[in-house]
Amino acid sequence: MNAFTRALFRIGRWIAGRDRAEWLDAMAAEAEAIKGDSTAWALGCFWAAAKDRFARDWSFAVFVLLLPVVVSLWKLYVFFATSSLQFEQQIPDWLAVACWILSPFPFAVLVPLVRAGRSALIAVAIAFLAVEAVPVVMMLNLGVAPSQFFGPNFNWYKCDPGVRIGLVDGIAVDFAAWATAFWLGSALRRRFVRLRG
Amino acid sequence: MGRSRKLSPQSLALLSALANRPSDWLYGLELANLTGLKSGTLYPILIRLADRTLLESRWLEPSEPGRPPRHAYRITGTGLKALQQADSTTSRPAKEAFA
Repeated sequence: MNAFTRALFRIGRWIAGRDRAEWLDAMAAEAEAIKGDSTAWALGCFWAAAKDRFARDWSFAVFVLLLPVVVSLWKLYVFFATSSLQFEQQIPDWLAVACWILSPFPFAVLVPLVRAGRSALIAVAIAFLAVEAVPVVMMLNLGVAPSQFFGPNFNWYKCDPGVRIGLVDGIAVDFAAWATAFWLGSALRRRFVRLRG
Repeated sequence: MGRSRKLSPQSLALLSALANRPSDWLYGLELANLTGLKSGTLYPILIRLADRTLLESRWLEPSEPGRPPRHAYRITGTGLKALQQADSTTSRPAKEAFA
């Protein structure tokens, strides 16, 4: 097996979950027995693992797929709502930027409350990465060159003349907001479980 | 219930391949070669059949040193019965047509 097929089996095992780990090991052992390229076999196994997990846990799979869409739409709504207030000088710049940064907070709190453990972490991680990718994709579609995108003229939260947060700092601040919300949701869940138990 | 669900043609092909050598343990690759099923189709069927106890599985020690153990499959009594039942059901319209 090459590094690619090995990685496919590792990710497939992770997607399949603990209940099906033995089956993924079985598929990987067969891939080891193939004389020649085992990529097609590994891709089939990866597909089988994803399909099986989706079938067993379809409500969570739909949730994982929908969460980034819902958060992105909510973020856009908050952005336009607060931008107009900021433009009319009804709220200060810092408050508008704080609203943008904190807009995914309720979702990241909610996820660990409805789903326990690694599943919640996966859902939040996927949503975070997808939501962070939205401005990048938008900028690239608007024809902003990567040199400018990563350069000093680009700001993650550009809010003249007040608050300016650069790309890396912007992502770090977003990450801190998501992580804090996730931690809060997990702590609340633990508390609820303790109270119920 | 899952147990009474009709078996798909691919599942039947797989059970037939196992039923041809009922006492042997067959590997996934062998079954793929015998049935022509790709890994993406073969394993979901193997998992389903194992869940329904129509086949049993076990890890076999490798024949060559340095190789990992391999998962092998064998048809169960329930699997043989299910295959016979499916065969009789599928051949009934044909029998009726020729009667």
